[in-house]
Amino acid sequence: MAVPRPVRTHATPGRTLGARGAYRRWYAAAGPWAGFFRAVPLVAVARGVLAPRADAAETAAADQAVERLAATLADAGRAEGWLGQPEVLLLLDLPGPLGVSVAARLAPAGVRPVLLSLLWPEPAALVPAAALAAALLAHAPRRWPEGPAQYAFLLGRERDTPASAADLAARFDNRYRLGEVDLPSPARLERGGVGGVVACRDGAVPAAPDLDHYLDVLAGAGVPLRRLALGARPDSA
Amino acid sequence: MRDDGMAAISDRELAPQGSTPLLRTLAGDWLAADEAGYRAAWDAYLRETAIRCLLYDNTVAGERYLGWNALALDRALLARLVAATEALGRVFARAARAVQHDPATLEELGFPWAVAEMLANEPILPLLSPIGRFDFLLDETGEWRLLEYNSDTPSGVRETIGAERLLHARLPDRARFRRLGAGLATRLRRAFARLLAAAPRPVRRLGLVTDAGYAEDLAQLLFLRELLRGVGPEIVLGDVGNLIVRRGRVLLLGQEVQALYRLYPVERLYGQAVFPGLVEAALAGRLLLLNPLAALLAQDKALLAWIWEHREAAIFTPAERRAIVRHLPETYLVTRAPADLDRRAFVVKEFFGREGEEVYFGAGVSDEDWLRCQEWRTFVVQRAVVSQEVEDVIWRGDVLQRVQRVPCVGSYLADGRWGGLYVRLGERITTNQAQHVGAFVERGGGLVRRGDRRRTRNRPAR
Repeated sequence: MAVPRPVRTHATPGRTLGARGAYRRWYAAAGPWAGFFRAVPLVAVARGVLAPRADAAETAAADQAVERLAATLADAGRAEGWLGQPEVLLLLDLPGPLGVSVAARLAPAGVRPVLLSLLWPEPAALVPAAALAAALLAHAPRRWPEGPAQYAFLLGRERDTPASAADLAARFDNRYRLGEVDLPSPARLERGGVGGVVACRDGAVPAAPDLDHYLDVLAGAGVPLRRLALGARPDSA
Repeated sequence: MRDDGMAAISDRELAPQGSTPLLRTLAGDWLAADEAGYRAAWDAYLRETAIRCLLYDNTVAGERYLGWNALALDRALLARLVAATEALGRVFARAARAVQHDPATLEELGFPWAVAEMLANEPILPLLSPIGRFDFLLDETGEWRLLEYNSDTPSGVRETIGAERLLHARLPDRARFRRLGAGLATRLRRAFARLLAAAPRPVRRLGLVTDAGYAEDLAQLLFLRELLRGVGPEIVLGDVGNLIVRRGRVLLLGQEVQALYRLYPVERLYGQAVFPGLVEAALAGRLLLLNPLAALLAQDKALLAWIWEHREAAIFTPAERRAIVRHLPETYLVTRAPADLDRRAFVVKEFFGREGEEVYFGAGVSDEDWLRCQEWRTFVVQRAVVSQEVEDVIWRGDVLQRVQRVPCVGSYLADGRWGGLYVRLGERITTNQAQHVGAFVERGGGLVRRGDRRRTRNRPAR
């Protein structure tokens, strides 16, 4: 099935986009949702704490996963009529680099990313951040034309990676959870002209408890909600 | 002459003079001069503070937390605030020490028996945390009134040291103002260095611990780590889950630490498996707890009531007694409030509530809730302070709005000395919806000139 054609989201060839430049672009892309924007890995790169690194083998595998997920998502969005609709907010709870790439693939459909990553990369931390940082630099959004857009929050599913006691004894625990101030409340969604939410996750891993809780709050407030488990049979609420 | 740019303060200056001093803010003028420039400057400020000050959490619930605004104080108002901060620092240290070895009083002030025993046996040093913050309102008569003392895990250092510097550097009229947080970094390093030097055993490694799952707390600790580089010991930063005690040794990320600073509420740590081991190590002198249990005691709002009750007691010096009466609003344990107390004029506060949690205006407390608070016993009633208000600018949607707000002025005490201000503009109860603004003083007579400061640099601190 047709996947939206990839857009050239990279910096101009021959010019290296630095972390500060990427930060500005990601911030600008968030538009009216910039108050929820967080780009902690880029802050770490800008401060020299983290060196972005995309492993070539991983990248090839990830490209396939991106193609597959973006196609599945676009199919569902077209079939159900929400893809590209400004009044529908997307929540992509995918592994960070994957989510960034998938969002880039959805750009031609009018989808703009709102990055929400609080992943701080201490050396030897539980959750690596170098690949995410590389993806953020590679896919830093270009300037969008003015006008309505559909926004997609990129959440970074790795924030809730399991850890053993042995891990915790020796490796910095940089996992985090999204709290009630990190995502838009039902009232804030209404003020932002959002009439429905589609939450997408990888069906191969369990739903993150923090996002589940948030979605329950939305559902309780009567916000129309679609829970989409990609790669598995979609369940809806 | 002091080493923080403040001239010596005379007794005459400590009392409000003549007309009531007014607080004012600067954003209204900046906005009127150039709205487009104001918007651009604010946007750039958010980006820069995220990267340069680790204030990447500079919005809350989608709204801007860092305001493009500053509170401007005149010299006399600032001098009185500095004096109040340092005097109250001595008052709280003395009060905490007096109560610390009295288990019955500690229990009345909300401490479980087991913690009261730990407090009673805690090493004498450190007296309190390296840094504390007194939150004041300026009342309608021009007097600074203390709301609470954040002595356990005070926040706002990134804003005062980092954000305020960026704000000041970008002001077109910065020559008219001196920023007030310029000395806090030095003061803070000095406070840590002094405590570490006084540790019962040499400190080779200092642990900094927090709940890294909370972006704000982690960012504050990352910032602190940068500040403390070069103070002496190697620094290890970890999540509270990375902390273990094994055979009496305290390990953070597998490395033994001899001193620990936590940006993690002690009441939460109390319920965790690692807590008894930490206290045992501290009592045995193997670990220096830089924010000791006594820091929570000093932060306990019930201690405000104890201090008020003992405001005439000989435990305090005459100057301290005057400071209590002048700056501390009348405060009682809810169980000891006068029978005829008109609670409409008071605020009800939970002993250990943080960030505006469990604070209620008496007028809104029903008889039933009042009785319930008395049964629970863990509340104080404090005379409400009617604060001056100032103008702020908030950004809602795409619109800039001028609003009147209450300035909550946090005044830092580090190493026994005043260190800078952390100002938030918000509603009558300051919550996480309030907006941070810088704090400046108008330049003028009485401030130390550069040359004077150079000449006095080698004098011992007062």
